[in-house]
Amino acid sequence: MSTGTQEPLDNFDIALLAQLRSEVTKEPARRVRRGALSLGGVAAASAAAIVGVTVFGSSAPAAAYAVDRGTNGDITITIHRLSDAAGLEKQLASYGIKAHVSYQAARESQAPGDAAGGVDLSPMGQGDVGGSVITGQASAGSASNGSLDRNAGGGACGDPSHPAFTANLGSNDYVITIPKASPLQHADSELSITTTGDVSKTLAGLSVDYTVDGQHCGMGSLSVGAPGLR
Amino acid sequence: MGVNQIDDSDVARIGRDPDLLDAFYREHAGDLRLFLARRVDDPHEVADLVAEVFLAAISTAHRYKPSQGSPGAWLFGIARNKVADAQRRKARRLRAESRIVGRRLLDEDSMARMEERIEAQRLTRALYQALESLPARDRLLMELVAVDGLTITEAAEQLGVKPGTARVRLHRSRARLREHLGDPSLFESIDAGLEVCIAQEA
Repeated sequence: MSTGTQEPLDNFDIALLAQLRSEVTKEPARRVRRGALSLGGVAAASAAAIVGVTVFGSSAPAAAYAVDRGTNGDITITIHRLSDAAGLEKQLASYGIKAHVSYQAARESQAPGDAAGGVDLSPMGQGDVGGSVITGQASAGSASNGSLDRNAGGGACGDPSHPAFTANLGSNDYVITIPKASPLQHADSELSITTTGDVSKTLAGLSVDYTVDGQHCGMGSLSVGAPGLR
Repeated sequence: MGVNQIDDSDVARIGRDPDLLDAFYREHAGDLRLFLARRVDDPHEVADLVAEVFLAAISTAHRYKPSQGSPGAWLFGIARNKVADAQRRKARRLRAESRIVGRRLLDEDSMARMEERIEAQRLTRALYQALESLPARDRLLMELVAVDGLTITEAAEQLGVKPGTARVRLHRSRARLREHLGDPSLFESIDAGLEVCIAQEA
């Protein structure tokens, strides 16, 4: 079958091979099931930042989320599980961030009698075909990997060169970082974290969005790409 | 085979060792693109699929065992699944999201080369489409032999059937294809190859 025809590599091969090489030098734990991001095309339609995640109902970590302020003033939100949305809202308020958090899609599909509550975020999957996606990253307030439409708005949304937040899909959680300089930490702004997609198919997205002074800021496309493409 | 050829027993490590991956890529990228061009007529889609297939290969390589088949057969198995996934996605109008988006890596020259390959496989794609008229398991066998050029023994091995069984099924499929193919010259060109194949191993 395989003729072993070795042709000279063209630019496509060289570029792809470079990316594949960098892929295999990453630690396996950082890889994500390829399927984990297949929702992306759908999710990209609507929000400032969306990262596809696979959702599993078991082995949930103790806390659904964590909010920390680093020494540099950045605030980091780590979401382990899609539960206790109200609690996260409250905790963010204590950090001076007005937020709307809704995991409606997840709640609807939650199996009755699931004592753990919520849905575990686990892009690692369970040893399935696995592996191609490391992180989905998206940010609003700065263009990332393509389109960013910004409502004309006299700078209320912040300095375009600094993202208001960045969102990362980690190995088993979803991390949103709000830099110290972000309008979300200063202006009259609201952060919105909502689920999208079809959680009943163990596949969903989180959408992160924000407004400043009642004005909708930043419409970033899904940013899931390879290093160098962002 | 070239100097870059890697030992079958090393394939399991292509997900961890970039140099082994490099050698594996060089050995199989050409064949993989041909495999895809026999099925898909859009260069962008072929580029995406090449990236997807290699990504899937590096993440599942640790489970590859030479005793289960050659590395080429294993890679084509992955490719077959990816093509099927792509067709399902297309039917549902979903776009693939992959860590590496192959089409973004295409420059003008690579694009032209891809198109040439795709054009060269026009007849084979027509055959591939005609195989839709066969029952699933017969189609896969015919696909391996007539589209991918495997010997009957190789194809039978991949499908886990006896070569004799495979021969019987191929004969049956041939008759059906003749009925279904609108273009007699297409059937002739396929059939000539098939006949040789079946006769040789009889």
